[in-house]
Amino acid sequence: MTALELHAVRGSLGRRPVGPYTFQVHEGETVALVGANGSGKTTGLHYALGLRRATAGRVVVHGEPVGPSRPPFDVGAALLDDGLDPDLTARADLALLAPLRRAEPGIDEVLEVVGLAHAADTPTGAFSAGMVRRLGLARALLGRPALLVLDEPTASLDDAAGAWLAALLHELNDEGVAVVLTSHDPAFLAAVGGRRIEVARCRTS
Amino acid sequence: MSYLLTGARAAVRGRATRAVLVSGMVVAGTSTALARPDQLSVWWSPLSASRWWEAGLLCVGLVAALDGAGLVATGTTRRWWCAGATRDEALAWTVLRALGAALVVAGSWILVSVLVVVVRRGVPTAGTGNEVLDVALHFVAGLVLVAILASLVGAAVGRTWAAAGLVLAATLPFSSELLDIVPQPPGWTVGLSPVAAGRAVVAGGTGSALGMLDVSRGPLLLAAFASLGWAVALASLARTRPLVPVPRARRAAPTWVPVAAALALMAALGAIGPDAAASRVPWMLQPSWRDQRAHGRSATQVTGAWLRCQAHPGPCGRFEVTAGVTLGDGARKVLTRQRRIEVEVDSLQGAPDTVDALIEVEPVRSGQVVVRYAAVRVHLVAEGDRWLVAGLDGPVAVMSS
Repeated sequence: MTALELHAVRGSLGRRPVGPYTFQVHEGETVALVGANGSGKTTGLHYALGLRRATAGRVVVHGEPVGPSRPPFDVGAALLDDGLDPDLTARADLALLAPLRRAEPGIDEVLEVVGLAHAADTPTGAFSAGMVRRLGLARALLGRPALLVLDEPTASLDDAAGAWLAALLHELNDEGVAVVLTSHDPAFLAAVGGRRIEVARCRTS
Repeated sequence: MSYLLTGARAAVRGRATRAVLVSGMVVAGTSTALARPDQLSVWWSPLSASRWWEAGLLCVGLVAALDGAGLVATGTTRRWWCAGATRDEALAWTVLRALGAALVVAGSWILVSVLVVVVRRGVPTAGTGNEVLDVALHFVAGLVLVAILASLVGAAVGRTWAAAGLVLAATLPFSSELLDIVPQPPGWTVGLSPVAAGRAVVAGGTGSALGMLDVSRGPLLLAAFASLGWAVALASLARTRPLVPVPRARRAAPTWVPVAAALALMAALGAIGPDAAASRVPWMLQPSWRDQRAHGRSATQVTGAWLRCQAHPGPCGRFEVTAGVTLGDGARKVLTRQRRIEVEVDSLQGAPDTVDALIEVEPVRSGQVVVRYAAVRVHLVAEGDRWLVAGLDGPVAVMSS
């Protein structure tokens, strides 16, 4: 079954037209959007999540269309500029998201998975860039969604963490979780495998 | 419910929010601590002094605005969307968090108020029944409405300090404390401020609990329209705000049909609401009462001045306006031997036309007993915008040692 489908999605960045984006991600599959800086990979993920309003085309997640008043469901997202409330602890940060994912009991587990269990009660303002990235992954993994959308997931992570993440994504694929990500990290892309889609000038080839 | 508690806790956790709360507490606490004891009562202290009301509203407004904007600035609303929450749901949760924070602030406010009053006055005095509840409900309703509007300001602006600045700018020009210093703005200007408009609606046209804004029926109608209009406009702006920054982003056009429908509904409510609201406001919050007090012509002020006049026969200025009061011998003796008069505070006044006073008299020895105090009850009648003393009962009680 198709977890995510973008069909001829077009939009604009200010006055600049973007698209069309057309690609599909199936259950248990990892798809990597690759391309140069400014090619429109992150913009493609924004359209996939309904964060930007498409002027044409359609976005479908788990068979349901995504639109201005219809958010995607059963999706975990970790974007590069996800934002952070520095006064909240990692646990409190996840607690604000947990009711939506019906994952209250899963907070400690997911912190354990991403290696932040020791910092669960530390204000996130004291986190390093790598820890912030891990927290983003924890938000995405909360509630074990069926589709993961990851924007540069290895940014600020060391090599060992990149290898760990690739292994985790393989495990999730085996469980049927679909993953779409962007990355400039050749080693990570090689480790994670899957299908690659070239993005250039804000369109998929 | 667990989400509401988690959200409220998160809303008051921020450093800026804590700074606002602590500052407000210090200012209002100091103000109360320095106030004359006869201006304090346990139940009314957050309400009887306008500075309490204003500082509380300002605190709630700032906390709600900081929280509403913080949810946008920290990407929380975007994460909610990605987790499956619609924009309307996210907006509702934003407002709910602000309401939780408002209740936290109100609770802290009342607690500190009671503590200060108990320390300064001792054993709490009883309230005045339903009127205390009535005024307290107005106070809480004011906090809630201001919290809603301020959180919408924050959600629409999306930048914490800009939102806080806007709420400050919208509140300070209408604060009672400032109005004591600068000229009173016209009543219609209330509609220009979401906070002032909401406050005017809740207070039934008073503009503030004991403030100097004299908002009559016309401007109240405008304020009712304005607060609903502000709520609808701010919510519309907030829910169409881009979830990701877009260079020169073009906002989606607000949906004007529900806006127009909401305005039409409010027009219908506004046509019948203000009179009903004004009649439900406690008499002590009526504009005429506040005006009299501001000009030294309230029932308690007239009573105090008139009683003092009795010890010094002769012209007593504007307070010599008795409507043919005849004093009994007992009352005359008490009044001519007075050393000090303590008129009850407004907040303990049982009815607008009856005022109790305790008079310390020159000690009178009667056997082994020395009488030092006598209580009297003064009855007044309203004539135009002033009170006339109509009669005096007493002494209704004497205290001796």
